[in-house]
Amino acid sequence: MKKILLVEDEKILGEMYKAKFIQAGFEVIWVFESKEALDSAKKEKPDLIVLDILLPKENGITFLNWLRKEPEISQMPVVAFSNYDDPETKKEAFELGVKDYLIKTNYTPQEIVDKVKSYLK
Amino acid sequence: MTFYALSALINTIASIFLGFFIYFQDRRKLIHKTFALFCLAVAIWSYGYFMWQISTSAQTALFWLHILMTGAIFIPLFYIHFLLAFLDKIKEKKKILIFGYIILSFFFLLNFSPWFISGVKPKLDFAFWPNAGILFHPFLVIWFFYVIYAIYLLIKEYGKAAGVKKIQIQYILMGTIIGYLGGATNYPLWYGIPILPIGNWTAAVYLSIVAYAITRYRFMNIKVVLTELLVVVIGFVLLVEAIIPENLTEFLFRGGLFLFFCIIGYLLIKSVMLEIRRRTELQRLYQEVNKLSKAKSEFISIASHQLRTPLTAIKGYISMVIEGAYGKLSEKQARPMENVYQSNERLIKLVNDLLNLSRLEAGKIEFKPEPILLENIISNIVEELKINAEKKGLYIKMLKPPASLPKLMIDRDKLRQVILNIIDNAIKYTQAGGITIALKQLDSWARITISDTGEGITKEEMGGLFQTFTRAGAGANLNSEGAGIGLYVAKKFVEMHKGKIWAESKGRGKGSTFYIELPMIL
Repeated sequence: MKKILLVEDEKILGEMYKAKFIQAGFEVIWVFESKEALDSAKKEKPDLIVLDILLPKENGITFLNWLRKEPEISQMPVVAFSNYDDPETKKEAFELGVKDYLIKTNYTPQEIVDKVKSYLK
Repeated sequence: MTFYALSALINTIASIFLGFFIYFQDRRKLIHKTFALFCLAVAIWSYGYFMWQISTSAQTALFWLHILMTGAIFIPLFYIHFLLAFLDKIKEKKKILIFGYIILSFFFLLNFSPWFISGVKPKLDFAFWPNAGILFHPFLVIWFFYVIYAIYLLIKEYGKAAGVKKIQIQYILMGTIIGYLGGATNYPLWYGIPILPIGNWTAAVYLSIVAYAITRYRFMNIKVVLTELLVVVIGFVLLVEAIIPENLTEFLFRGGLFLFFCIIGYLLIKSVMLEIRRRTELQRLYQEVNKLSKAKSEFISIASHQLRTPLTAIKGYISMVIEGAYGKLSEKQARPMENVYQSNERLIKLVNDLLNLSRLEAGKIEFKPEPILLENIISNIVEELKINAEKKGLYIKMLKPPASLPKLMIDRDKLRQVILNIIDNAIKYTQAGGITIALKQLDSWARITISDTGEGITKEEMGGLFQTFTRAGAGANLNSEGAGIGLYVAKKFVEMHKGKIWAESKGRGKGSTFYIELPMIL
């Protein structure tokens, strides 16, 4: 069973994506903040991180910076997903090695699961 | 007149002028008042210097040297007062300022005594150079202390400052170092060390740089100062020449020249001031527009994010309900769910279009081409929209080119959005029949044709089709969705590829065809 770390601060969306990933056969760890996410990434060693960008306190870009500096987990694949469609932020995320930057509203949860599966192949 | 005397005279005029200019710019501000005082000290020093240089007897030279020193005593004090006001540190450094006023006033009171200047004698090319009295040594220590302290303060504050203030400090620091380094060369000769004094040469540079720094944020003002200064100096020279003529003809000629110059000078200053007023106004308006544009752009990004979050939840949950994640739906239940889903999709598209429109208007959309097979993009879109077409009982087919087209330099996301938008519209406005998409090469162009058997477009509607907030009549009759932004955005995206987009229709009820042509550039 593949393990996903879901970083999402919106409760309604987090519940929805968690349910969808579980239904699709994934093990899901759901966290709300960047610091929590970094601790979980180190402890749980997920196969992939699904990362929201606008988060309370430190944002997703800060998290990516932290992640890439941790030798143990620096190569962990990340798919960014956010409704914050800012070209500069997108550019920064790609420079920090995200596999994709998905605009949540343009994808159904099933389509997001499909994308994640394709990156885990 | 020697060069030393002339430069001292110019310094006198320049410092009086700059002092008045800065003072009258804002008489209430301490920065302006203290800078004017500093200019006054420089003016006294310079005028003393000038008179000393043209003195013909040791007694007169000594008198003017005492006047010169009156200015020199107060230069570092008024300067430090000005600096503390500029750096907003008067309260914090009050003690050091009061100490300066007390100790330097003491030197000022004893300035005219032989303890300060013991006498004059010829040194280097100077007929009457002063000798240091007993009190001159502690004065020099205090003088250097305040100069070094000023430089230390500026360096310290430079590290902390930002924006305009940082630039101002940078200029003031530069002026201070140049001015005082030059000023320091005036003293070795007092002790018989043969170093050429260049203090009054660097004083003018020093004053100008500091004055420039004060008005840095109103940079244009210094242009007026310099123009006025130039006019005054030339006018002064012409006046001096005019009042010491050798004969009547010369008097009339020089007097006439002086009057003529006054008129030209007045007109010159007036025109510079007018130009500056206009530029300042333009600059202000430009900054205002930039600020508004940035605020608007940020607002749209954040507002889009806030709008999208609930739309994502609706889209997600409804799609999961339709997929049967919460139990299989009956046909009766499935249709309303599908309608909710489609309505939500309209809202999502509207938010996306508005965001694109605002970015296009702000010129903030980046064009990122990469070599891509056009055929693949179209096939994927056709596959994606097939379900929507079939639900309406429409066919959707793609006619592939006889020979595959090479990869083209395309911004994937933007072109995808253009084609998706047109096919989506075709499905929306077609009630029977279907949509045919063709791709072929025409000379150096790749042409995509999207034809439908839908409601068609009239000639009148055709004109405004690719403009914002207009929709074809069929759209208005059959669907009230969409704000008419999609085709405008599509046109802009195609233009980014240096391509063309247009539509043709034989009229109402006769279907329509959209053409997209892209240059075959790799």
